[in-house]
Amino acid sequence: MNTMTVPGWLHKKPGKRTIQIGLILTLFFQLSVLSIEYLGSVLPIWTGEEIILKTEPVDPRSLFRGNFVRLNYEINRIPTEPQTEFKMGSLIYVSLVEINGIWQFDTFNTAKPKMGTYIRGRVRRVDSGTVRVEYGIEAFFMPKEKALKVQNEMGGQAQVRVFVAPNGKARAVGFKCLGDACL
Amino acid sequence: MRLIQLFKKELSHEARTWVRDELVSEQQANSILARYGTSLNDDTDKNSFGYYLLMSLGVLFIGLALILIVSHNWDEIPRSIRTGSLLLLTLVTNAVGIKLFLSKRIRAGIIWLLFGGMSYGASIMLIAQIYHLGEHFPDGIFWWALGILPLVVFTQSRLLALLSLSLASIWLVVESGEDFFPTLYPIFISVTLWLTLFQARSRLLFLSCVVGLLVWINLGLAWIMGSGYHFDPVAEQLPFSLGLGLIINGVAWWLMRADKSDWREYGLVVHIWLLRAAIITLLVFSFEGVWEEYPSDQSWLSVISVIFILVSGMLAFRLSRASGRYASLPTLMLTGYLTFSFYLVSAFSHMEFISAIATNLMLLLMGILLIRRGIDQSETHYFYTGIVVLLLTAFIRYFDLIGDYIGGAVLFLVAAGILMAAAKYWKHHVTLIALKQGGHSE
Repeated sequence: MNTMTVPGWLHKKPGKRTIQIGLILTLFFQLSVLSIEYLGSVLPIWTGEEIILKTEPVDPRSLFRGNFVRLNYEINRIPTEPQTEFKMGSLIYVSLVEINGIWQFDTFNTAKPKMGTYIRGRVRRVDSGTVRVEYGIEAFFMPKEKALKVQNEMGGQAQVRVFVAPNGKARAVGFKCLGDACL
Repeated sequence: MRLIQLFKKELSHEARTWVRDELVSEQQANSILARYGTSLNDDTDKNSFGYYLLMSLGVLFIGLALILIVSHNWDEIPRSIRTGSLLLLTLVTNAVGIKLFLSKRIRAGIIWLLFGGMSYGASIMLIAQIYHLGEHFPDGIFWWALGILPLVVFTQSRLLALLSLSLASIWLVVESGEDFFPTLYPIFISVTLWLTLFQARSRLLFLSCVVGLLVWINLGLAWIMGSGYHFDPVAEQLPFSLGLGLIINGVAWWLMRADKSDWREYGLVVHIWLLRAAIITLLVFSFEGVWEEYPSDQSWLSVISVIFILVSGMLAFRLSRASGRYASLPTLMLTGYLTFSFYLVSAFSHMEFISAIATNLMLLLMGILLIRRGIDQSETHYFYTGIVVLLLTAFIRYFDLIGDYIGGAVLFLVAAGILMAAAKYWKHHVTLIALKQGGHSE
């Protein structure tokens, strides 16, 4: 038979007081996670500037979150020098310029710009000459019928209202009406 | 350790019928059952367990229904009300669970905490939906699993551990699917291992931890190969996985000699599953084409991987040696075979043929050893596994000839020779035993 000395604390059952405090702290932790998620969601809307971005909707379904349209923005693919190296998931700031009411790519930087309108994203894929950046506004949740309507009636012409916070975090809030397609 | 240990509940049930039929006394039955780490009273609360299990499954279904309901997009209800309702539901269900648990209504408390955990997860997903969060969605699953993990520590509930580990494993899959390395997965493995080793027995959770850890280490190797930016699994990773298998088998034998009956059971379960995995792996390697996929260049990685097999084998041998020849002999055989085959294929070109033959001979030896073990230890499981290994090897080789008809025939003849030699040795061995017993009786 093997005999092994195991530290006592591994066998020890926590006392009633520890369990009581631990369970309450766990509940507090869960509520904190939800509150931080909520605040992170609404802060760009409360404090940000509204811009319009051009996008193309497609229609997948999320296993956990229900139906949504996936939005492919023009600024999701940004041109780079072929030799430029990016780390996957690294932060990138894309400065935007308004042309005829639509905000478009101007320049990008790995440091936060001092001025102008910019949006914060993360590098998701690096190809030769382009880099794919995601900004957290690529999914728009809605019932299936509405999602299909957006996809069919707006096609590649959809425009999305986005709020951009001073730190560059963005939140999509809705589609801009285009002809009959109005949601 | 005997396989019967895995059927102690059934044994306990049988023993109750022996006592009822007055074949043995209650004390005798308990003495017999004590040898297997159980007693006559071991399974008496099975009705309450059935109730607990069905209630838990009911809660799981309610949770899934909740996720689907919130996924419907209730546009007409203001966002703040939807968010507030979910937060309130999480608060209330968990609070009820905590209250019941602290007032010693343990099972009811855990069922409510399970419901609370489902509400918490649904809330994470719903807030993401309400505010159209397109951010890296595996994060939501990670925070869900992490939010339940402390409950496992404080309640020591296997049900909550199962939920937490399942969520963490889903996160492992989706996170790596999105090309990110699930660095924090071992936290979930550590807590679950602590629970199963020191607090509550669960073969399912223990085995899941072993599998999860193997997957995570393999992902880690692929991540390192991709320079820490993406997953780049390479063929040289295979010997590392096989080496890990050898080490875990050594640990399984070590566990089978432990003082705690729970640990002995874990060791046995892991050993049985590793045995099955080893047979399947050997059957796959018995094809020449599989070896052709392995790179035949002596790179630093292939050299390290062969050394790793050797070191793992030595470690496994050290851990299993005290359990007898059926523990140490297969370890030595497998280590020798794997080192030889992988070295041959990586160091010389066109050696796939030899490695495939070595694998087939290894299958034969494994089959013979299993039959022998089955008879020696009176364990039909090993006996029939050995028979199946030999028949499968013959079947596969008949349809997939190595070295054309003549080569295939030679291989079958060598196999027949080995089998017959084993049979002759066996007969000789049995005669020797009979002679010894005769000598003793005289």
